[in-house]
Amino acid sequence: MIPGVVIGDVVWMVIGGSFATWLAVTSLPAIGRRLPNGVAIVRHFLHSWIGRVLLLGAWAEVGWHLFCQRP
Amino acid sequence: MSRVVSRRVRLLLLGAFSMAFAAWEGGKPYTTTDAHVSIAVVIAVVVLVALYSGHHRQEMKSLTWLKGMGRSIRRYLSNPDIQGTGALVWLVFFMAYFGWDLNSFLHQQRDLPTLSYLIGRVTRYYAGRSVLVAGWLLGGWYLAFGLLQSRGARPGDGSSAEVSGHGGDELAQWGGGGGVEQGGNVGDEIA
Repeated sequence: MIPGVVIGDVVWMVIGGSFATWLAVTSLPAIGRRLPNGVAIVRHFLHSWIGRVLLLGAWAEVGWHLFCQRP
Repeated sequence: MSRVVSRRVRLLLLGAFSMAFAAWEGGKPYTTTDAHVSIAVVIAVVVLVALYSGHHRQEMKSLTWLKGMGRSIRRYLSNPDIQGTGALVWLVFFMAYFGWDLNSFLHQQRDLPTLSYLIGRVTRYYAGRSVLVAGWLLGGWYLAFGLLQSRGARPGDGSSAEVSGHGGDELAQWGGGGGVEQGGNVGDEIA
């Protein structure tokens, strides 16, 4: 184990790395036509009020938490 | 022509405001009243703008959207396809994030940091906080203006001013009940 890196960091790196890889793979034009990419997922929610409100609520909560409750 | 120019001007103004706000906000520690008030005001403004600009401009009614989701899930369960599996992978990522973050939060141990704690290592610096605030604010504007229909269009009639672009229509068929997006550009929604 690298000094200063705890088990929780490793799990986040695995989740983040997998997420970034999936995001990149689905963003490739050849694959993106068959598999939904990150943009398509967000856009799917923006088709109606209920999806838009859900995303805006999550966006507001994330902003408040990151910029007002954490260092 | 002048309408297009006007939209571009509004888009530029919105971008300039966002950058200026992010630059200012970057210097405010998260504990200060300034930080709390400014973030709360920005949230209120974006939500109010979304409610105003989105009035009668959603592509489909919420009930139609929900029914479309239900139909898609039932169809996937009876006849799995690659697009549905792709959407399922996104759901797994969301659950992994949410589950691990909740686990870390509940344990409150030094070796189990939450994601926001890790992000806090970045936002404690001016540059990190400014960049993240800028990205967050631009994301908020996109949620407020993205995929809005032209004024006067009825929900579901396919007269969206948004662009389809790469990856835009994939889920329209999967969950929405019909691809209704058409060409344009992202700035067009600011009408």
